[in-house]
Amino acid sequence: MASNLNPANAVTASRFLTLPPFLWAVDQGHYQLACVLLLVCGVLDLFDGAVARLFRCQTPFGAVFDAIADGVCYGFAIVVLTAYGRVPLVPVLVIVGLGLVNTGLRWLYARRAGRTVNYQSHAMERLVAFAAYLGGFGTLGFQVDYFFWTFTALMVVVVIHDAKRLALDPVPAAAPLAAPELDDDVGASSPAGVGDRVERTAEVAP
Amino acid sequence: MNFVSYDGQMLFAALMTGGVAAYWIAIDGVRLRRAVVAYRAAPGDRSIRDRIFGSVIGIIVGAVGVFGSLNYYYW
Repeated sequence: MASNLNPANAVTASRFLTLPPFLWAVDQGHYQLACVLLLVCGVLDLFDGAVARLFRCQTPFGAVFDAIADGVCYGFAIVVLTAYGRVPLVPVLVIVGLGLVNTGLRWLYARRAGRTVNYQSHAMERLVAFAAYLGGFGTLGFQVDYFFWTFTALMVVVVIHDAKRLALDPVPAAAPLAAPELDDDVGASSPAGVGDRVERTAEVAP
Repeated sequence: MNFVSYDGQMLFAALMTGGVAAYWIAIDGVRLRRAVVAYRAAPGDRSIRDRIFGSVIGIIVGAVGVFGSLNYYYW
């Protein structure tokens, strides 16, 4: 088993370095710079999955850490933009609330599995990629209400769908590390690269 | 500190959103087709059902992106 102190997790952790300058850029009204910083954060998200595969350092912790980094980075961006009045408050409150519900259900799922496990939801991966774009829409002021309200509606549907699997459905047995995923047959990861590391490490026993 | 004009900024946002969203629809369309074929071979498989649901959500997200971009310029 690879150590948790590995290049892929270092790349994931480096995404947090974009957050302080993002806050500064929004505070100073440099919205294009803030958008560029979000793009850098997104590119690093793509990069960490590639580094994990290159150095063969996929770990269960890395999969969870990647998901946590997504939530922290994109959540931070959305909260900052809300605080500065760039995005509407009500959908953000609903999104944050649903995110907390989803986190609680994932914790419950890990308890039921009895091991370090990152529940893989293909639909939620799409929404996380969408969430990355929400920050961009907020910083650039592009169709903000339309995209935030649409995201909120989709998130309600996905959280309800995932809740059943997380809380009630049987937990699948741990699978081998290199189990191939059908998604990879397409020859590309999800457009935003979200879930790359999750797909290969999601059901690995510690 | 601006890199491009306001119009350039909006054009960039529309192209990024619309372009990625269209690509997203294509990718998830292929994934959906493959998942449906796999599901026919193994009916009731929860993991394949989840992939189908994920692809449907992905196509909807892509459609939302394309519509949002076109809506900004044309409607």
